[in-house]
Amino acid sequence: MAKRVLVVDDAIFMRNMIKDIFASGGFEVVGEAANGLEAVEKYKELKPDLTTMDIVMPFKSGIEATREIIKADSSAVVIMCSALGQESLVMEAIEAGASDFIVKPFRAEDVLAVVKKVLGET
Amino acid sequence: MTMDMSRYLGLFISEATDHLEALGRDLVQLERESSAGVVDSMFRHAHSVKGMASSMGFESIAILAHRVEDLVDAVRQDRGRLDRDVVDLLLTAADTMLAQVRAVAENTPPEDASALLTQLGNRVTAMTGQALAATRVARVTALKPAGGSSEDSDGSVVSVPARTGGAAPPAPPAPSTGTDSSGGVGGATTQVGGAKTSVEGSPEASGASSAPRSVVGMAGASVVVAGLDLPPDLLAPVVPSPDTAGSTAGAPGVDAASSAVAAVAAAMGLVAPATTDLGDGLKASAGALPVATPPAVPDARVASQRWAVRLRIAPTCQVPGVRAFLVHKRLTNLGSLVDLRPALEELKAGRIPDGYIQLELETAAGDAGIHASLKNVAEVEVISVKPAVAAPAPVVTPLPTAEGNRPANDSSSRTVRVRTELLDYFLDTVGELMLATARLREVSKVLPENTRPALEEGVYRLHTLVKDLHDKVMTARMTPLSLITDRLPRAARDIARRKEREVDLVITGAEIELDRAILDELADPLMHLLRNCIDHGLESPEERIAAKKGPRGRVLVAVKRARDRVIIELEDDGRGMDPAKLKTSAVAKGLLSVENAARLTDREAFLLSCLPGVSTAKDITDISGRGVGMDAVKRVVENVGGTLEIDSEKGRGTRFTLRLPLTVAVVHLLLVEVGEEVFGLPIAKVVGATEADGDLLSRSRETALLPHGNSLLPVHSLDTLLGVPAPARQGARPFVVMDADSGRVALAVDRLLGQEEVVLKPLSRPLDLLPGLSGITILGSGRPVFILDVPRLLSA
Repeated sequence: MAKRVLVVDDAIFMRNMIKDIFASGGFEVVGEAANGLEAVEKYKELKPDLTTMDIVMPFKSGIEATREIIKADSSAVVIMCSALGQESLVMEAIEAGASDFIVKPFRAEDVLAVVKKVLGET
Repeated sequence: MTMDMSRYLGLFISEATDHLEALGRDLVQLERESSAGVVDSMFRHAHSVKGMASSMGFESIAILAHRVEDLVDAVRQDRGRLDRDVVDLLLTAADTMLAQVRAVAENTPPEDASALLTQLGNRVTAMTGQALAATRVARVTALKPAGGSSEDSDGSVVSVPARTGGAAPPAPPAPSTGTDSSGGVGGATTQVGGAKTSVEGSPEASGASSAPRSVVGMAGASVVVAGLDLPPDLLAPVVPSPDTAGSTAGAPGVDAASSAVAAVAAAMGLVAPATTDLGDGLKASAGALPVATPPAVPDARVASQRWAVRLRIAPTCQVPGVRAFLVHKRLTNLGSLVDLRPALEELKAGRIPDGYIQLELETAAGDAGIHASLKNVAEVEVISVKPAVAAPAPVVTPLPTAEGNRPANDSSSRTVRVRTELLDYFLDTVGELMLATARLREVSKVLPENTRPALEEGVYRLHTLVKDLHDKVMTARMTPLSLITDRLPRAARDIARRKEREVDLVITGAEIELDRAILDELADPLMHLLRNCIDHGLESPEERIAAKKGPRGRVLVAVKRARDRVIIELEDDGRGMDPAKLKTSAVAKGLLSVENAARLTDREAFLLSCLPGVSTAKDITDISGRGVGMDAVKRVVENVGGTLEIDSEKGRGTRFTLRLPLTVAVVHLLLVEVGEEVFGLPIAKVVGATEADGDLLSRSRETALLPHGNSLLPVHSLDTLLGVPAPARQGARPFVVMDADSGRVALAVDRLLGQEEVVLKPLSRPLDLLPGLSGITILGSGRPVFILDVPRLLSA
């Protein structure tokens, strides 16, 4: 069965790109969220196998959302979507429980490589 | 697999436009009413545009958005920085980006934004004092044209032809920028040709210091924005590297991954991987990983055991620091890390030579557990997991290198570069350990007899170890003075040339070592003193001949070691200083009374040149009159616990003598009691102590005067200076005689408690803002004691 993914990013552009990447890799994107608040709600509702999380978002940052998701489900797999220059934020997210990270601008093969590695598929 | 980005073009245009329009609205709102929420929102808009534009391969927009992000971030840190000019600039930037997005939509060349970029960059630098970040837009994937080549389907190589058509004129070779700030990998100049492109040698290195041009690529259209006046550090990430993997159009492509690796490596001072063919670069580096050493037969015991782990962060990893941090996190979840090289701070900063990390981990999870915990971390290769050998390796063990064939006498293979902050951290922590040990010893004194010996023995052992560790840390901090004196000859030459002097500079004893922290502080003062000697001290050749001296002046810099001090003498054979003139000037500036001036010895009078504003107008030249003044020189020397003396003889020359402690951390204090408080006075500044009856002192206006030697010293009451309540007292009381800026003073205290050697700790905010406090220490009793900076206390 295809792994279920929740995509969190405030830009539709990014969400679409990430969704396409996952679709091309045989994943099923089961939900999207545009900010940290929505992300936590959607996570609890959908219980996805994997969540990609943008860091800079309105209302609630990706780091805070990750912290809350991990608190609710310690086995949650959250992958941070970061940009170069955000190193310290990503480390903060790792402290908060994020499993791994990908670096913008995304390349499909990199994203899928990280995701598959994290899910133990390679 | 390469993504076809053209399908996102429409979405990019509409969403980027939304963000940029919102950014403009935020700006206008911000000008009306400054609010953190609006600034955050602006930052998000810029950040989103940057991310989208770089994904699409529109570097020009991405770079602009990046600069806007930087500027907004600077404003976010301090909203007081926002003024009309900044708003104007940001609005212009938002408009320009909107126009560029429109240009993308209309398939027309975007407008040139180089001047704007420079303005934004200057503004950011002016606000933050920091150089512009280089690596943030590092990895740019250019837009895949519809129907482009798909030769890169193996997924291991980025192959992205930037554009189709290839109509751009051949670009000239990019000039090397000369100043290579990138850590030594630069130098290779990228030849960007329109028709046929080839680059030999080290393409990874090419990004570091080359072409001032940026490629904007999009489906069916192409524009080369040439001649952008950008700082090389910004350009590094976006410089196109020719695509060797069969770019059908023969156009320059952006090999994102390799240039990013180079840029990141360069920015972090690492040497980029050795020359590799670009097309196969990533495959090659993946394949070239050292063969994993077969793991030793695991010990079957379940109990916690120590394992030596070696691993490597993939050279292609864009953010090795974060990757290493993730590894660290995983392993610390497993057990306790007893040794980690490079240290965590280094790892986090991405300073990982060749990507190798070695560590020792105490865990019950066994080697299988260690492998399992790292199994699903991308970009990490576990090289070996072996049971650790008991004896820890010495600190200077060479780091593992990929080559493994460095000559044994190469000093770089036996030493490790350590950041000075890390050394500061070691020293600070050892200082804490010393204080904690002293505290333990105090505690042991109140324990019952039967338990005391065991604890005392333990504390003694701890004390010895910590002291030994302290010595080692201090040794590690020692750095030869040549680090700063090596710069003097060049400076002397430049100054002499400009001032038309002839000078011989002689430096002796530069091999003598000093604490790195002191050395860092001394660089500017020494340079200033040298300038002073040449600029003011030495006469012109004509004057010298007239004074029956040789035409060439001589400046001697002599470094000597005297027990626990280092003495630096700077001596010229020039015209010397006139104490009478200095006194007149100080009196004229109201810094000294005529009577006090008359009492000053010549030596004291020379030190007047260190008072702000005493140097006469004639002294202010383009060389010496700027930046660090003599007052700053004296302050710096005293701040590190040293003293400055000036000797001069008219017509014969001037000698500056700096007496410096070897280390900053340990200071000798005279502890005094004021009311119920205890304060420390640096012994270096204490001339003596005496007892007198305060009521019997003579007075000049409001100030009591204490007879000392054959002079009268102004008396300051420490309780009044510090605002510490102290009972009025009668009869004899102690006075401490100290050196202050304008001569000696007497401080009235309640009790002298004796001398102590203490570990000085710097004050943190906001205490460091209080004038008159230079640090803090904790006595063995656990009592914190402020160390006073008397001259500043008096002038506050």
